[in-house]
Amino acid sequence: MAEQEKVKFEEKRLVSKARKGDKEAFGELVRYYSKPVYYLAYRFVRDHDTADELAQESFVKAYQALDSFIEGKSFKSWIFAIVANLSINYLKRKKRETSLEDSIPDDILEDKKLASNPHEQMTADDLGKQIAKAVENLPEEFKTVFILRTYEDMSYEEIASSLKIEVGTVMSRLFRARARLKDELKDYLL
Amino acid sequence: MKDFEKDFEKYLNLYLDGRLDHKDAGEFEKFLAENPEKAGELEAYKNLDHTAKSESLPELPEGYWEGLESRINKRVQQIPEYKSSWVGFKEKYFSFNKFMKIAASATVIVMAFLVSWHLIRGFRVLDTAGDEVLGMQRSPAVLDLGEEPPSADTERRYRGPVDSAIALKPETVTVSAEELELSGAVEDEVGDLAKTDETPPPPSQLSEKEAGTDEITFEQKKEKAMKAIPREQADKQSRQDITLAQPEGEIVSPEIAVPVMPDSLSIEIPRPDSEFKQSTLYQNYADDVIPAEDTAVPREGEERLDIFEAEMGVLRSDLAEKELELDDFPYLAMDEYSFTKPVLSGYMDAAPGKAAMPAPVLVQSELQQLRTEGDSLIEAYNVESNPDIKAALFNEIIDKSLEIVKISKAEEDMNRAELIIKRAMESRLIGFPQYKAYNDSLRLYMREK
Repeated sequence: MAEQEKVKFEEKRLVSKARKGDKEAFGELVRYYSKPVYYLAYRFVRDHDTADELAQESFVKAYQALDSFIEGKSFKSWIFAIVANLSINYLKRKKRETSLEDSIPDDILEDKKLASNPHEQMTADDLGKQIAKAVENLPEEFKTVFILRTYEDMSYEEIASSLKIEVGTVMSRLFRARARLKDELKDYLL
Repeated sequence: MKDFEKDFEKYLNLYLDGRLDHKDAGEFEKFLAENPEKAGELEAYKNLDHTAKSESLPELPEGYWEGLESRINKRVQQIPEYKSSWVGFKEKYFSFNKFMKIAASATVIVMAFLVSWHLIRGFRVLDTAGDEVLGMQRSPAVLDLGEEPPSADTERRYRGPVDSAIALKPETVTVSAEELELSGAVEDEVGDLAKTDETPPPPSQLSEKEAGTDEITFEQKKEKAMKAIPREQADKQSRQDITLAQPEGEIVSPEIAVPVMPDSLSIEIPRPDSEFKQSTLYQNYADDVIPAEDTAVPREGEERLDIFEAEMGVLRSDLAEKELELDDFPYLAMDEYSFTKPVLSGYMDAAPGKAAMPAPVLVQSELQQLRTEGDSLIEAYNVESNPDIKAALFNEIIDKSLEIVKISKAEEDMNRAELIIKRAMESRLIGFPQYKAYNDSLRLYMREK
């Protein structure tokens, strides 16, 4: 807890300096958060190069938008919201540009074959991939909430604050996302 | 007991996320124990959550994170230096040089404004009278000399209604000081005011022209007053209720002792007509005097006055036929007029053997009513010991006395109202601006006569 508080204080100090144009302070923030930012982007797009690009883009956007950051709020939640928005936008753009069939990579088609044989012996990693694919098929708003809650372990309140929605909306979207995933993966989960 | 059956999905998720309190969680677990199929669903959700979290992420080559940071920092370095909008704004508009230029310009503008303001208005002693009057010595209230004047707190509380009353029908009326002075406002006050220790030059020391009384103009009076009373003294005097310089045992002529007054005043004062035509008084008058068909349309003040004058003209001619004059009826010139003896029927009786006046009875009856109300207020004022209520009553009395002047337009009523207003200011129930406004109103009422 004390460590968390220390990080929070340090984060506040760095953000404050960065807001005054201190790029070195912003570099420190990059050092703290580049890894979680990358992985969050990866959870959305499931592609290393794209996640890398999105992570870079997220920090650039964050630096440019520092003025709109409300001091006292969590920088982590703020930058995660940027990542989520950029990722969702990327996926929407991609969806528009390619047909559904073309957008499914070969390895996923391979996995679909796996999915068609649920009774085969599956490792936990295989099940994880199945879940990841099912998550990909969720509507954007459900997907975002599910990822932030499940993978990033953000509270309802943090998610609500990041996405600028009500806590009730977060709960509703999360519950519906889980229900859909459970239905889709019912053969594998029990 | 919560309905877990009905809202199972909701409670399942809340339980999974640790959002149920200890008691609810216990009850939910009990519910699950009693419903194995529901417990199976919980297991499925847990499995989903656990598996999702434990998904292995791609292995990244060594040095990748440093490379990512480097790329991010490189891109950030290429962005023009970040400055918050406020910092940018400050630098743009409030750099030291620019600030100095702006400050210098603002100073020049303010100075120019002040100089032209004083050139137009002249430099006057009483410019800050409103504030200065607040600092003057307390004087006992007129209506009950044994009573303490209202407290400063009371004054603040009750100045509001006075201001509100003035703001009800705000209309800026410019009244020249000369008009005020010629109407006798200043001289009247002079006669009543207390002595001070200040000693202006005696009349004998003044030039012949200065000592003149009849043809003197306002500017001349002002000049003389400035000579006779040094500015500091004049300031002090204005604080002391415009008490005029007067050596002991020696009477200073009003022309010399007149305080410095502004050339003109621009004060918001209530217009009598606009308020009056809304009053019950006017409505009663209209009902009795103006034909019914005319009362359907509200009359403007000017029309009302014209009608009043016309009625009075008819009355005068009626009286003339009976070899009588209006002055035979003393309600407009009562020597013994008093708020404690306000019965107008008595005024009528004061001219024994004379015929009763038909039309003015309407006015008299209203005056009687007003004066009776005024008496009641004064009586209540003298009985009441609560300073707040007394202050409120004093304000009521002022209003009533003004209303009486509106109707009667009698000198006595005006003098009485002036005295009340003056004492209200002395008692710090009203400030100097209100005092002036009330007095100006009185002048206007009398001018309409």
